[in-house]
Amino acid sequence: MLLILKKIFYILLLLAVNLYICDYAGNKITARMELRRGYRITRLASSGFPVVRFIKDLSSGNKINIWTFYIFIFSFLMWSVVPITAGLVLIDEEYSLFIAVVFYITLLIMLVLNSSRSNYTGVFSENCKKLLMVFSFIAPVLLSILSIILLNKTLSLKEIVNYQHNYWNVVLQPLGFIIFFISMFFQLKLLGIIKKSYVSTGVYGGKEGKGLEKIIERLSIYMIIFFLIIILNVLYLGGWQNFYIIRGEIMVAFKFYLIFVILLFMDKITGRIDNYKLMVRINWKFLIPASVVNFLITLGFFVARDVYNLVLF
Amino acid sequence: MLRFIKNFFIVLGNLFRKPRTVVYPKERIIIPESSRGVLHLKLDPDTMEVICSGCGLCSIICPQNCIEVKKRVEENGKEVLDDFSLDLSKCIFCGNCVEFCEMNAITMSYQYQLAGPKKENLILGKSDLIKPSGKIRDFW
Repeated sequence: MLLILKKIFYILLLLAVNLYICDYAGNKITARMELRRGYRITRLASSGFPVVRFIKDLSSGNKINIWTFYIFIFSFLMWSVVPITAGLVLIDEEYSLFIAVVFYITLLIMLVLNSSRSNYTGVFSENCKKLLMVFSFIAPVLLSILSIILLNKTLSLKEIVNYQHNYWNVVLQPLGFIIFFISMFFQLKLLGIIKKSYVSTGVYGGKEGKGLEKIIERLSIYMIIFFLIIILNVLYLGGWQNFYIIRGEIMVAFKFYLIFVILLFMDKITGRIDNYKLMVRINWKFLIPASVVNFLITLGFFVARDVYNLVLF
Repeated sequence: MLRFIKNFFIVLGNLFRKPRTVVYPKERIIIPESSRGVLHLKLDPDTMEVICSGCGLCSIICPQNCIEVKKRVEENGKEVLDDFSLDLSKCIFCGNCVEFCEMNAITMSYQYQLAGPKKENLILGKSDLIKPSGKIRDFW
């Protein structure tokens, strides 16, 4: 019991520290990329900026509804099965990848549904667009994950990492990695770490929460991004495998922040992609076909090797 | 794709460049030279009196009709400026009055922070326009 409590404490501490660092560094780096000084509040409170903003948001309202509460719960639930490092996992489940993906999709759906609460007319079509966008970006991620499952023949995230002791999966599945990364990047753009998100704010009906509601929404968006980065790391980049003499935990931290900074860079490089059609086109014309091709190649390879004995290695 | 590569180098370069913005109330930069702020009535350095004779050419030439000039005749027959008012809510800082003034009695100061809570405060009188503080090149 104490061991579980200790693990919960460590996981929450790690998440809180990461939230703090990513929020501060994200705002600072984005400001520097745009040749801005940064927020005034950043200058005044320096590194205390995330806390100051948290308190400021909290002071504007502390009421939440039941949907926001569920979002809050779900944003932490996924960390019960996703191993950040080998020891930092609460439930060592055989189907951890499946459970994690279910939590992730549920959280995304709840975020979209939460923004759908509105009395305005014309909300339905807007929310259909949002749902279409969100699901069209989940599809390539799922197909890439399926290819990895085929490759490693397991649903356990720990075993997937253990399979990568010789080669990282990125070597065997380069196309899958690219698809996962691009899809992840567009989800980040859709959810919006630094900017207002498309999911929570829409043209007609979507509304931006305020107070505690806003804080929880931001938290859940950060959790989705963290989850995707960790899953990318676990599935393709060797997870917590030692890199020569560098310890695995240090490698996880290094890869995590590297991917985060690259995502911020890509966010600035590509500019604003507001047009949902453009995103859908990128998705339906490139990501989904490529992920299907990747999946079929992987499937074909295993069928040829295991069923027909055509491949001799 | 080429555009993204170009953008990448711009964004990367920006990380090592100096920021272009300042945190306004805390930090300020010098406003550019020959910026146009509120009008300033020049004073004669010998007599310390207003050079303007109140001919009213500026008020005629003003496209916004924001200048009102009143003149009076002194005992010795000399025409002097009695009152000069400028309505800042109308002024577009075009600088026509400065260019057309024959006496060269008006200049544009660097004073630009003009926001106020009341509209009445935006009408400046002769005494306001003589103040030297408006002439100093300010920071913003």
